[in-house]
Amino acid sequence: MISTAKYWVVIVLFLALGFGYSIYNQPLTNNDHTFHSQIVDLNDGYGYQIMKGEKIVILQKFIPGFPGKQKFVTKKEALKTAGLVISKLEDGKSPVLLPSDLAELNISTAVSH
Amino acid sequence: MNKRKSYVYKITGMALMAMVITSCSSDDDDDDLGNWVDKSVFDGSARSSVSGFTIDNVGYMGVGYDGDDYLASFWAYDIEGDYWSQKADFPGVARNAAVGFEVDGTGYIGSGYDGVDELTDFYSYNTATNTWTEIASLPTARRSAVGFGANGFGFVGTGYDGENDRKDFWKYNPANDTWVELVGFGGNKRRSATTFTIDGLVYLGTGVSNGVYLDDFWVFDPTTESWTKKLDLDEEDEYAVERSNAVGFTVNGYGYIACGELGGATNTVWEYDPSSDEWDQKTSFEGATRQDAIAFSNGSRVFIGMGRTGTLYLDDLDEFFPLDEYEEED
Repeated sequence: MISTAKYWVVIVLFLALGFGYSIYNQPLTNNDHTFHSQIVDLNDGYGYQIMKGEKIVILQKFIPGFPGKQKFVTKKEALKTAGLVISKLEDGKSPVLLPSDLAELNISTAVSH
Repeated sequence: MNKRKSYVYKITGMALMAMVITSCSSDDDDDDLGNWVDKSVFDGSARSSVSGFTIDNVGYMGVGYDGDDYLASFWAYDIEGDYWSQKADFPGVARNAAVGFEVDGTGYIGSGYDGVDELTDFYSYNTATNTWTEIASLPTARRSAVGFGANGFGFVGTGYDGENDRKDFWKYNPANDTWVELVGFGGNKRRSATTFTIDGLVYLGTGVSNGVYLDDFWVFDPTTESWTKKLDLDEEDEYAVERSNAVGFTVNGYGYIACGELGGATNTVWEYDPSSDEWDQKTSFEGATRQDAIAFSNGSRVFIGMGRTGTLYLDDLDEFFPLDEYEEED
């Protein structure tokens, strides 16, 4: 009987070890999953980057969707455009900005779309 | 007592076995080589049947269909930086199933389907200026064609014109902005075929016509503009390369055909060795099975993403390491 009990102890120990191992082996969860933006100063204008935690997700040196290399004229315009991208991402929508989105935000562009 | 003891031994043994099996299942599943690493952070721009090209270390993709709308937006994926940028919108009507290819550092997207008609119009994209320019239209409308750049020219062929599958090929000359018909493709008409280019030679295979998945495989030499038949895609019993709506790409001198449609979306991956004209199965794509995806490759690194599985439109991107052992956790 004693030896049987010993085997049960061994089994319980094994299961406990296995359980501990599986918890230890869980991929580390990144605590910072939130989207935020940073303004990029391009000397003669502004761009933005969308970050997810520490990671750059979208880098936008030029106004999205517009032909050529048109930069945002002001920091404020870059910031509100980035804000719209983030709100789309947070809603699980496409981060695509349409000409109508930019018109609604009153983004100054040199060339009309 | 003895009986009970042997029962306990059995349980112990089974518990041990179970632990060994679970701990090994991640890398010893099978012998296929190839590892997939999830790079997706681009949640939200799900679309399929996009078109694009890779220039230097940037993958460009745009147009496509998201299940509700045909799209005109155009994105660039920076391979080194692992981030996206939204570029100048595609200037033509929003569409899917267009072709995209690169010729001497310039990108091209054209043909396709806008939800009503098959299209002929074509555009070039200048990466340095982020601008699109309309070029000469393809002489005959089509969608789900193949397109590739080779030897300073663009080539578009096969596809579906709205009534019939096609087998004709056209050559675009950027120097004088003209399309000329190219004769000599001996394969059957088809749509949703795949190409990849190894050492300047373009390999074409797969695709579907009248519900039949085609098994012929061809190589095109752009310097002589001649097609040569290679061994069929069902030459060996274990081959299962036939499919449609797949992606084709080249890494380190080998060609690959991945994902696609075969009575439903598939995730299998086959590697082509041009020296032996043989196929070898690799680790299947790790993400959801999919068709109408896109592959970006700079020749040494490759990324596969977007596409759809049934009516679910996908937005993720995975990097493929064909020579690595499979790791589940990355």
